[in-house]
Amino acid sequence: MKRAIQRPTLNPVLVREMRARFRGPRAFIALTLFLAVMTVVTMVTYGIGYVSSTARPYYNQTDFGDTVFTVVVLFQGILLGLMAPAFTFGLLSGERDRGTWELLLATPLSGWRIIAGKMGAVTAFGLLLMAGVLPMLGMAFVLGGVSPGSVLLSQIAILSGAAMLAAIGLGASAIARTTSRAASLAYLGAALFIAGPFILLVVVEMLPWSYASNGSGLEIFVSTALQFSPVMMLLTPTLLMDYGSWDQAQWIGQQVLLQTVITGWFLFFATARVRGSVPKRGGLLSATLLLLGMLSWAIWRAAETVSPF
Amino acid sequence: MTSPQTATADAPTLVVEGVGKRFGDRQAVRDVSFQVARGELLAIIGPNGAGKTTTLRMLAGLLAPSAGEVEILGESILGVAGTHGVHRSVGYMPDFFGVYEDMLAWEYLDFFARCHDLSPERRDEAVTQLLDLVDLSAKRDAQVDTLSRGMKQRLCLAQSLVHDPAVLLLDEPASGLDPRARLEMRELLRELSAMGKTIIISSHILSELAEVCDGIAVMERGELLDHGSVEDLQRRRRPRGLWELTVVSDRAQAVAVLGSIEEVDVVEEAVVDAAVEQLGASTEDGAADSGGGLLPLPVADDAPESEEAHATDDLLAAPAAHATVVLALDGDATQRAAMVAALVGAGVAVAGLRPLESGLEDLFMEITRGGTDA
Ligand SMILES: Nc1ncnc2c1ncn2[C@@H]1O[C@H](COP(=O)(O)OP(=O)(O)OP(=O)(O)O)[C@@H](O)[C@H]1O
Ligand SMILES: [Mg+2]
Repeated sequence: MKRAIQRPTLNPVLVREMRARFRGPRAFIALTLFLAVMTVVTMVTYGIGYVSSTARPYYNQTDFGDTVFTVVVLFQGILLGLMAPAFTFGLLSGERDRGTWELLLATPLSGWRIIAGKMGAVTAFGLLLMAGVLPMLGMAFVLGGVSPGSVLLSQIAILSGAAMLAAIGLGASAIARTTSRAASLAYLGAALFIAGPFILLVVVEMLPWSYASNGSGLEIFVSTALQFSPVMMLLTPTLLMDYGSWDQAQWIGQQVLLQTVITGWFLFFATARVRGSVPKRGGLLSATLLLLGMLSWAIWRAAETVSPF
Repeated sequence: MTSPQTATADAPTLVVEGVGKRFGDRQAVRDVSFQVARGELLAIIGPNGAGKTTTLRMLAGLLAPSAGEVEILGESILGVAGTHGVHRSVGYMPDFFGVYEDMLAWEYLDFFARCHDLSPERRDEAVTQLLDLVDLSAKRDAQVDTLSRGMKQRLCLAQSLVHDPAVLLLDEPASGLDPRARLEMRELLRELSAMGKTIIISSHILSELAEVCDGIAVMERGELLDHGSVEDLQRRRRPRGLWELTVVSDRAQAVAVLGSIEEVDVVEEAVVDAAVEQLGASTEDGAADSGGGLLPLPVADDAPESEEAHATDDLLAAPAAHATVVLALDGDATQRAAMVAALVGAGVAVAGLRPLESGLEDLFMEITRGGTDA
């Protein structure tokens, strides 16, 4: 078992996680199920599209490609979004459950390397799943009506949304004592980020003066807040098709950046928690700063009045 | 890397100075200070909740003390963010630990060797040597979760040695092991100690470690009650040693005289062995008698009578030619002489007085006074 690898040494946590994740049937089963669902969805969409296009001669093939694109991205996003927290909520709490956590901490590994190793393996698996969808996206592309830019943008949006949900799961794993608690915390956090902006939207819609003020700063404020919701990753095709193009692309780009910032915060928080607990005040302070940052972004945008809605 | 065991020979490897830990409003460890020299094996003994694990975790750099300072090989482990430095010179085996279930024994050790940044050659060498040291060479390719508890424990010990640390912190390494495995663990500790490792072990059981350890630290409720070699502790506790008094007359009278001497307690609990337990029980009754009067009459008015009491009363009622009393005596030879004088003066025929070798568990019980953390 001599190995040629010399310094700088490979992250041992990454090696172990990769081995644990890809050895054994679990990864294989997850991948197979994921691809099976995606294939069925694509075939059904294609079938329905084909039938309606033959039934209605005026139905044009461009719409057909659009539909496949929209549905594939929708299901890809839903499945990955649901799976993402599950990839991570056990990463740290699982070591605690298992009783290996203190052993790991008693080594000179930095918190950063531990997190990087673990998230590296998760990312590898996530990218594998993403790659599995490429043939289906290619089909939409071949059917026509979909630009390569849209496909790329949709994948970037999905990546950033899923990464954010995975990071929330990691954050939950860093604070929960047991994996089962981490699981509920992860999905609670994910639900909060997914639904929060929409709840805000509904509340604002119910305000007595909001009907009159369609397109007002308030409404733009709310629609900007939607950029923080990982659900937006499902809507890239719709946004790009139903509205103009450049503004929407820009809007999605902002969404990707904002969600990446949130991802970064959760990763940073988890890393800081690994070695020495983050003082409660410090954690709360930085979370407050993050929220304030999100809020001021939405306010600033409202003042700018640029929105796709 | 070689472990930095280069500090001058007589400088202590580990210095703990006034260390304390507070969890919320619970003071888990309070003002603990001790030193351990190179190659020394210190046993931290204490009941549940004494703060042993908390202390070891602080020494391992896993928990920041709320007070005090820890120095390992002359370097303070506090104030270093993340205290990574300490992990290179310390090996730690927690009281509860797990394994990565899908790993083979050698992979497990190899993983920790990687975590310690060992070069590939050093890694292979360390894995082979350590498996040999803990007698698991035959299990090299066994899945870790198929190993027995004792094997896992040994594997975890090997894991803590993978970077050749100067200091070993072992939290109850023998818990859950059968007698034979305990014996083997003890042999292993002796071996490691001979290799020059500075070792700290926590345990509930003193007698088990007494023969391998150089020093003992007795903890209770977060406090270090006493600290020194086994002999030190015994000598220090000797003033309140146990003595066996043999009299050739009525024991009740002797007990009555003893009861009137301030420094003497007729022993009630600290029983040494089965034979003495018998004596302890009888002296207890003797003490009750002495309160009732000088005559060894059956007690009728107070104290609910048990069958046992009847039995010993019967024994007492028949004046024995030789009777023994186990007593605890505060003070040294002067007090002892005074006691004997008082007995003789009262007409008790003293036939002998000999120190009882108090067992280690008694010593432990005596130091801790039986208080457990509630
Ligand atoms: N993380 C923690 N948070 C709060 N209290 C703690 C924590 N860890 C330990 N304690 C408390 O500190 C005290 C000492 O615990 P510790 O585990 O050090 O005892 P111990 O001597 O190792 O006991 P045992 O023999 O049962 O292992 C206990 O009262 C315990 O409840
Ligand atoms: Mg303990």
